Formats: sequence, structure tokens, C-alpha cells
Amino acid sequence: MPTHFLGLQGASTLPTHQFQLTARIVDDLVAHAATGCVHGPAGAGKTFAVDAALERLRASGGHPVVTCSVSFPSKPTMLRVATELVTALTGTIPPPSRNRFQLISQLVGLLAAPARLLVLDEAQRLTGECLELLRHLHDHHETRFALLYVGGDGCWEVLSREPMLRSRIFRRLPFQPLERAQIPGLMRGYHRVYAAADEELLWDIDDVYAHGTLRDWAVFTNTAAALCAEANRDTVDAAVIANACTLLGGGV
Amino acid sequence: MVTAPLALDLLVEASEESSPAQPCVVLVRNDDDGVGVREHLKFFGEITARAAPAPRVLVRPTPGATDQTTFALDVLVALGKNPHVLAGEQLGASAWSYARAWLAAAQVTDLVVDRAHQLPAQRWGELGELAAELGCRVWLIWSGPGDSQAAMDSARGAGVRCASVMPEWLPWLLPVPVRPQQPDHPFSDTLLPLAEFTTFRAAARRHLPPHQFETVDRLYLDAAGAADGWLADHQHLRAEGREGIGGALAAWLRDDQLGPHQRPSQALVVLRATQAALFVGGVLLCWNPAALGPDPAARLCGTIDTRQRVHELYVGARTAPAAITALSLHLNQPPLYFDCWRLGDVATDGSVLNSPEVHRHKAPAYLSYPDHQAAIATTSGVTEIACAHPVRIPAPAQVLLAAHHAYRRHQGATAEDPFFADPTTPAEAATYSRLRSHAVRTAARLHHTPGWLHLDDCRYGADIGLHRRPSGWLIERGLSVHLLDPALTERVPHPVRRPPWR
Repeated sequence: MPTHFLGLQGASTLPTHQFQLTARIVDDLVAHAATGCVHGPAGAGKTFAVDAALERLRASGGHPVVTCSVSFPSKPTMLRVATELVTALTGTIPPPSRNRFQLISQLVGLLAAPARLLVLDEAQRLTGECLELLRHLHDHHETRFALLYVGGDGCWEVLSREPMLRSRIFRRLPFQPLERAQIPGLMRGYHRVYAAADEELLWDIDDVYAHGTLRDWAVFTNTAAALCAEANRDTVDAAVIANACTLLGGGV
Repeated sequence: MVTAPLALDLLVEASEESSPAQPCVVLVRNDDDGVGVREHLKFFGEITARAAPAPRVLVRPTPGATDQTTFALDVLVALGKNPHVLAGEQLGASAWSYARAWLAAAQVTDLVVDRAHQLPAQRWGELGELAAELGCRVWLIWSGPGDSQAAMDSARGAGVRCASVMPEWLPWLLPVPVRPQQPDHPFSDTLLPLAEFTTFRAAARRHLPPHQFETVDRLYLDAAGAADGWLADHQHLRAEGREGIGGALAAWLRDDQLGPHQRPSQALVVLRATQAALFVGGVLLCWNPAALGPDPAARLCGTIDTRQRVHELYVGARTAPAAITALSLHLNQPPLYFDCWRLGDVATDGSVLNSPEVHRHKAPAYLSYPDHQAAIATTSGVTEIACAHPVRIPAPAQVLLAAHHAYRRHQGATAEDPFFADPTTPAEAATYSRLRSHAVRTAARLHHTPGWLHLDDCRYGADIGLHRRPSGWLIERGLSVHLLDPALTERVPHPVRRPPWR
């Protein structure tokens, strides 16, 4: 399993609906060499779910597919995207003398075989030109690879703005924050400090700090677990929560 | 949306494979980037790429590139060129000229440009000019925003008809080509007897099963009949001696009789039949297979008569190295006489290089040296002069010559200008050293280093301090020509006199 945020120790993977759907979507994309999109607000667990699905894919050996994850800085140029992709696929940085035509030709060759799944994290940072490049690669008759866009706020807006891209999305999974009703059930299995915690306390944490966001839950848990260890307590209580909230900005 | 008369013409042309394409620019309004067009182009691209060079080409322009050079490179890649070789050739501004030349050589009828809305207006105009120049249909797949009317106006400026059609029409107007069929070889490889030509037919009858012998004998008789016919037509060359008839015989064997056969067993049967027919006509064609390696019959076949071998030459964009090397490999000799051919001597489709009316070639001095003459006399007995007889190019390699022809025309060369020109002064013929360096470099890229292409200071050591080895199509195959005494010929029983060898 991938590492939790901040390297949180002792945390379990939450089998949320979205987490399980991600695995299914990744399988479908690989099977059809299609394009998909996983998007949602920051910290909702998209990258974790995708990483877990990729790990499972590599470990199972069921899919003879090579996975490759790439992320880009904000508003990258098309040349930068092509360079990053070549680097990710070959493991070496192409010489700076390579122009766009040469890089794209190389990418077409690289993506022709073997079967690959290309995961582009933070896809909301891509510009229309970069998306056009990815479309060009995916539509090319010589290439065969699955493409998964993973992005935060604005990702779907960026992708759906391009009709040529929107019509190519084979699977789409919008991630949402956890619903309030799910919190006690899920969090008791998340970490031992919540195992015997009162339902009201868990809702308090969510209301005050986490707001259904898994990354915030990881941050809070990290702090709370440390405080519990200092105070020799097995379970969070109102004092631990109050101290943790103070350390984390008072819930503001 | 549809300009009715032109769309109707397109439908008629699409339904009749044989009907010639009328030059036009067709804009396919795929505004919503529909799945139908995308899937159709994917299949279309797959099939046309596999058949390259093919008359239908799908160009996928590099995203974001607006310059002519990159678009030309995209066209070249669509024509089946290797992008990595293209990158090494550093074509620069000449890329578009090469793209046009290769399009002309491939006799393109349909040039499909995907996502044409991303091209700048200048490219649309150039594509219109291309349609008029090549007499082909240019299809602009318009899958996004942009001023399509401006594109049509730009194309119309080149004087070609323009139409705009709905994407639903594309599969009917531009059907996916049929997958190329694998060639059917009715003549399967047969284990043939290792008998001399005098007893070959009898040995074949004795050793082969009846049905196999029947196939072999049919080929044998046809080949013998053809050889007898050729000899009857060229009896006048006997007066010119061994060199005179040998040169013509080498050209005929290379282009018509022996070279076109792709299977060693076929070539061996044809050789034995030819030897027999020539012998009774007073010409002894000897074959010495001892120096030809483990499968000497395989060496009898042509050098560049298969798509596979030609493809290795085809991958680059520069036409001169490909054409020179193809010709050199076909003739099995260095490009010694290539400066003789003028543009008018070469067929536009690259099928034949006619013998020039006036020979301008510069024969190197060593050819007349007594030791070289003696070396020739002990090998094939014939000095093969490439430009002395018409050279017919095998069908798969014709595109290489045709492309260079088209490129020279684009350079403004006239029929009297040299076919292989000096790159710095195109009006003058290329020098032998330049021609050979082209051939050496290209052949080395193919990992093919025939001895006759080695340089003077050859690293293989064979020619250092020694006399140059004679080279030629006959020598490469261990063949030599000898004239028999006419008195002896009269006494040889002549089966041809019982027409025609049956």
C-alpha cells in the first residue's frame, strides 16, 4: 500500500466507495487502452487511491502493463511535457537539442509497445496545448496505452473545456469529501487512537478540522497519535482533541 | 454543407477504384470531434502506414507546430519515413521540397490531414497548391474552432475545387483501403539437383516427383525460350565480340531474365535453362558457384527486388543517397557511370534509366590498365558499363528513383540537366567521389558493405597496394561469358530449331 500522508504510522486504508471504484476504473482503462479521469478537491484521497490501484496492478501480475506516473509544474509548455514523458518512459533525460518533432516521434515509438498505463497527476495544471499533445499521442494509430488524468480542483473544468478531450473520457470518477454519517464507522477502523473513541468526538474533529478530507484526517491523526503517546492514552479524548486543534491552528 | 457537384464526383471516384482522382480540397466538418471520424482515421492510418509508400496518406501534424519544416517532417513520417533518420538528416528548409518529391513518387491520390484547424493559413494554401501539383485530393479534417472558410479560400487560391462535407460522409468518400494481401507463390522452394546445365533437365526429371518436375520444367522451357529469343534478336552483337554481347547479356539477365526472381530455386532453374539456350546459340555462360558461399543459388537473385530491402533505403528523406545506393546495389558496382544520365533519360516513375544518346561519363583510367583488363578477362569477361544499356529498376525500388526525379524537377532541372547533380551546383553532374561517398554512407547505415564500395584506403585491407578488383552484376554471381567458335556452334544440336523448345 502507498504511504499515508506525512508517513502516518499505524493507519489503515479506508475502503471507501471511491477507493474501490478507482481500482475498477484503472482495470477498465488498461483493458481498453482508454482515457479516464479521477478528479476532486485536494486531499480527497485521489492520488492515494490511484497509487494503491497501480501497486495492486503491478503486484498482481494479472495485467502485463507497465505503469508510469508523471506530474508537472504549473502551466507547463508542450516541450516540457514531452521531455518529462520521455524521461519518465526511458529513465534518461533527453538531450536539450531535441525539438518537439523529435521528442513526439520518440514518444510515439515508446508508447507503441509494451502496453502502458500513463498516469498524469495534477492534471489541472496542464494547458490546452499540452492536452492536445496527449490527445495526439493517444489517438496515434501506432500507440496503444491507457491514460489516466488525476487532478484537483478545476481539473474536470480544464478537461471538459476541450470538446476533443471530453468526448474521449471513457471513465470518470469525481472524488468527494467523506460524508458526515460515514465518519465514525470509517475512522474507528482508520487508526487505533479512534477505535474506542466516542462518536460525538469524531464528528467534532470532522466539523472543526477535517471536513471529510482524508488528508486533513491524516494530519490530525498524526498529531493526535503523538499526543496520545505523550500522555500514555490509547484513545483520543476531548483533551487530546483540544490540544491537537491548538497545534493545528485552532481549527481555523 | 455539401457542395453537391463535387461531393457527387467524390462519391463516384470512391466507388470506382480505377477512376483518376480529380485535384480538390475537401474540408470535413468534424466540429464536435466525433468518435466516428476518429475511429475511421485510426483504421485508415493503420492500414495506410502498413502499406507505405501508398497512394493514401494520413498526416498527423505535430501539435503546436506551425512552421513548414515540421509539417513537412510530419508528411514524410506519414509516408513511412523513420523519424529518427529524418532528425539525423537535418533537412531544414528543404524538408518541404523532399516531402513534395516523395508524395509525387508515391503517386498519392488522397492526402488526409488530421486536425487541420490547427495549421496556420499558409499551410492551407500550400496544401491547395499541392493538390493542384500532384493531381490529388487533400482532405482537411476540421475538428475544432477556427475559420474554416479562410482555409477554403486559401485552398481555392491555388485554383483547385473545394468542398465541405459532413463527417458522416467520410467512410463513403474515403473508405479504409483493403489490407495488402500476402503475395502468393505458386512455385514453392524445391530441392533441385546440383547438375551442370548440360544435364540439369535430365537430372531434374530423374530426381524430382512428377508434379514438381512439371512445374520446374514449365519454368525451364519458358526461360529457355526467352533466352533463345533474346539471342536471336542480338546476334548482331556477336560481331562486337565478348564485351559487346556480354554487356547486353548482363543487362538482360539482371533486369529481365534472372534478377527479378526472388526464390533461389526459381533463379537456378532459369539460369540453367538460359545457359542451355545460350550454349546452343554459341554463347557459353559459365557459373562458378564455388565462391558464392553455402547457398550459391540465393546469390543469383536481384539485390533490391524485395520491399524489405528497399524499405531500408526508403526510410530517409534525402533522395540522392537513396537513389544512388539503390542503383549501385541493383547494378552491383560502384556509381562509376552515374554522371552520364540526364534527367530526360530517366522515366518519371523511376521504372527505367535509358541509355543516354551522348555519353558524358568519365571512365577512370584504371579501367584501361592491362592488369585490370586481365582481371576482367579471368572473371566475367565483361566490363559492365551501367549507362551502355537501359537499366530497368525492380518495381519496389522504383519509388526511390521517382522521388529523386521529382526532387530534381522541383529544383528546376531540365531534361538536359544531370540526374545526379552536385548539391552545391545543381547544374553540374555530381563527381564520382561524391556519388560513391553517398553510396558508402548509405550502405554502411544498412550494415551492407560490399567490396566494390570500399574506399581506396579500405579498412578491410583487400585493396591496399593491390589492383582494384573488377566488379559487376555478373561477377557478383560468379557468372562469366565466353563466345564459342562458330564452327563448333554449327555442330551442336539445336533444340530451338524445333520451335519453341517443346
